[in-house]
Amino acid sequence: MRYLTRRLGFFVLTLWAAMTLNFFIPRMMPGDPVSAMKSRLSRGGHVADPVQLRQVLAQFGFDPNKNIWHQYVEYLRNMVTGHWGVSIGGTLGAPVNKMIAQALPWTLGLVGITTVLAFILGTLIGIVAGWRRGGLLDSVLPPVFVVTSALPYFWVALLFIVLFANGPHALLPNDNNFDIGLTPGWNARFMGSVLKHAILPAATILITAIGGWILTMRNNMITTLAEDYVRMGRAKGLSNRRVMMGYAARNAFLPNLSGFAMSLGFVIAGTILVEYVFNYPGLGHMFYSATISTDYPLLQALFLLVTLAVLICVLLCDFAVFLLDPRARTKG
Amino acid sequence: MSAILVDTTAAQGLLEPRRRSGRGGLIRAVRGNRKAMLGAFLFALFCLLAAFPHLFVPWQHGDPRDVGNTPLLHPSLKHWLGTTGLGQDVYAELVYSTRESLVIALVAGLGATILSVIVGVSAAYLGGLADDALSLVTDVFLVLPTFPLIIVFATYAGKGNLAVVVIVLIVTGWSYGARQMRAQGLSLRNRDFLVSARVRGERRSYIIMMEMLPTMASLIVANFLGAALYSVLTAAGLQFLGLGDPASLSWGTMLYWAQNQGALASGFPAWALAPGLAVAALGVSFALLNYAFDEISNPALRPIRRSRVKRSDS
Amino acid sequence: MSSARILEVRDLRVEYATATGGVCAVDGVDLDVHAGEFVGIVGESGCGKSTLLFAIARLLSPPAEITGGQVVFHGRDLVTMNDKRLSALRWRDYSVVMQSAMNALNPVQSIEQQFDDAIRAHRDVKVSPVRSVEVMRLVGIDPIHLKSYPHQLSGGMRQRAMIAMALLFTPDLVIMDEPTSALDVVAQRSLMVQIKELQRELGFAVLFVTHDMSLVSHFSDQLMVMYAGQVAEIGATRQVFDNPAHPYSRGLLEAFPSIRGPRVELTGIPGNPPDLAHPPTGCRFHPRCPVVKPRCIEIEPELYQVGAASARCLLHEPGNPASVDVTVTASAVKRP
Repeated sequence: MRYLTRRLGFFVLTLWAAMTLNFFIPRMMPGDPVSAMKSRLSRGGHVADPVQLRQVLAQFGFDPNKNIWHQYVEYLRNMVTGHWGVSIGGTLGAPVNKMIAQALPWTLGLVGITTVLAFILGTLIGIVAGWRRGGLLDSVLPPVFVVTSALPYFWVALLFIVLFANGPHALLPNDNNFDIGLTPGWNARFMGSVLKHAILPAATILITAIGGWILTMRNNMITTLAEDYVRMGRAKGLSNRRVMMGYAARNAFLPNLSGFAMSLGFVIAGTILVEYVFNYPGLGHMFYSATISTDYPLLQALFLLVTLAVLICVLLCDFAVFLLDPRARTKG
Repeated sequence: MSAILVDTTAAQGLLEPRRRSGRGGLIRAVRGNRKAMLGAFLFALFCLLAAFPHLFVPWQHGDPRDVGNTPLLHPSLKHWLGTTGLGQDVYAELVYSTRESLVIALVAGLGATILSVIVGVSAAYLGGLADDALSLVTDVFLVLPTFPLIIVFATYAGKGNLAVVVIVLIVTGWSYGARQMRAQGLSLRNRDFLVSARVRGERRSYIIMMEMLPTMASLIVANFLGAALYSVLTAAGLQFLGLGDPASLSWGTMLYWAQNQGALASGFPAWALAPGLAVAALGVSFALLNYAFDEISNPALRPIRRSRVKRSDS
Repeated sequence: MSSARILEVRDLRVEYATATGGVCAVDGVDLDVHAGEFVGIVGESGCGKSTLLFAIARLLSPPAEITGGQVVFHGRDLVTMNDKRLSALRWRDYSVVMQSAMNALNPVQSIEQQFDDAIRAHRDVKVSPVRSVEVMRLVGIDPIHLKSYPHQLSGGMRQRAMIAMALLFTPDLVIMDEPTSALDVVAQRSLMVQIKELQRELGFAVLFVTHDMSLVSHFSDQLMVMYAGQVAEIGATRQVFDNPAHPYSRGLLEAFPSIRGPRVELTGIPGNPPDLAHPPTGCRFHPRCPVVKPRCIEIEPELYQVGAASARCLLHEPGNPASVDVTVTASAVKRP
């Protein structure tokens, strides 16, 4: 139990640190968010209404009348209660939480599914690779996976586009999440289009990510297989499968699980880059366009959301370790 | 980009440091490992490209970024990889860009490694409250989503400043290594050779510099390779998104312009793919060296080469 | 002690495949184990005793491989047996106890779960539903610890739990690889006493590997001394211990002082164990032997009968006049 409470405490602390960073960075940098926003709001010829400006800024937490501490507290409160303000970028005035809610399922679907799939598949393949020493999987393929796992996400994306999605005779589409002109709905045509558009981005993520998981699991298995308790399992006359999964993999998997939590940073980087290349309207793409248009409220909300997502995953992994490793339960 | 994950087992294998019999043993081990040789070869190639680019592009006069008058040519004998939308020779740009990318990788990698050694070893050695505080900071940095943070930083700090990019890479890249250093430092703390140094009355700084660090050398090198890989990929990603200096001579920026000018759509894949391939190759060289390093320090991971042992049945 | 032979090892050979060729870790070992017998195997580190044990139990992993000989258990050769038959035999007819229970017990399973694993793997064997409780009581552990995990038990308890697990099916042979080496001296002795009692109660034979000759000699019926992958001396414990025929066995014994005996100068065995990739010519012990003769460098000795034991030393070659003199006192022994 102590273990869990410690992890929860860490969760809250990190979230707070992230939000604080998020608050202070714009204020520490040269330049002035107020004038930037003013110039943005004044685009198109008309001058920004000072009242409207102040409203927007107040929602952003930047009320020049209050002191910095008040602003900070206000900001924290807004973030936590979901008052994320309105966008001041390309989609001027659109409520930020609605924008995020629209893009979220696409990213979750694409990135979430492929990342988890890469992890599970990679782990399973790694188990077999480590178990069958000297087999094809073990001797020839590891260097291949070393290479694939070091490839930049955006380059693989570009490569796929060149190979499969370029020119008038392309096999697959190279941008967006469904064919333009289709109305979303739970019908076969729409679903089919969604899938077609998701294949290349999903393949990019899968191919780049799976190599690393295979390698770490394989290495962990090899180290674990040398342990006495694996030999003991064989000595007891247990079936190969039982020894491989219940004795070797069960133990080799634990460090992998912590590794998964730490790899989430890459997943996020990959999301942004892949969605950018494929013009896929998910959160990553939104983050990019928010950066380009210096859409501070959207940026802050996205950053908070991403941090939250990572922390939730970390917590879930910690929980899984707690369930799987009796030593974590008693040490606390 | 998940190659850095291989470090997890590197740490496990290297947590039992072996006293190496001099540096000669390492060179021999590298020579015997095919992956290490390939990685070392690639890395040496890139170093050469960075140091003496004019050797590889002897016909180049002046800055490769100068606008030329033959835009958008396909690869030919005159322009091995074609030309960009502004008439610049892609191949020449590629070669000359090596310097910046390599410098970023090495400087940021070194900086991150130094920082992670300082934090990790201090946490392990000082113990107690200092350890708790340092570990907490490390964990927080580890979990913070660094790429978005870098993007935000780069945007707010004014796009294009190389120093900013390097600093941000260092600040976001040290936490992984610090964790490993701390783990190894902890396991070393009560080893006999350190206890005897303490009993001898050696100063703390001596113990850390002269006794602990040399034993952790293999882990430090592995960390450096991982940090360099991370820096290469992240810097390229940043520049690709347009957050680097658009006028700089680097692979990521080349990719940005290629994307910006629609190289793929216009049917000039070489312009878009070549810089990416260079980034990939540099990253792969680090990853290969890292993986080979794993195998060298943990012989169990090496591929099994069975020699035929004959059965003699009585 | 019944004289039924349950295990016959003949000319067993184990090699490690390395990049530069095979290294022979076990070179032609013969061994007989009778029902209920306690056989001790001693030797220095690296002499091949653990490899021998795992070879007999068919638990070797690559790069180690059995390259010759037979291991006949209850009349069937384990070396040539297929995996399915072997799995059925395992644990039911012979079981294994390893050196460090902390490493030999699965850290993520409770004791009970590890017992159940074995029981469920052998569904054809009828065991009482409370067998796990029974074996825990046998070794003197409160059955409440069945729910515990290995890291929650003390070192001694873990070791006894491992022994309890080995006795689940009351096998005919229990193979033990240095089970006392990780324990303190007091725990060592109490464990040995307990093993001996269990042996008397349940009637199983024991193959016990250790580097501690004096410990095992109090409990074993037969004693085998290994050196450089070969059997140096083997026979009834009383003879091997009281009148060691091989200079190596003698050296091993003289390395342990006697608490009650007269004060003698402690003599070790000079030198190091040989490199098994390039063993010495002739008798493998000759570089370190205090009574080495020129013939020893050329001729590889066989095992020669010496009373109730046999020794691999040219001193005991039939027809050798020196073979009569078995007991050589410390003072008369020449040092190289």
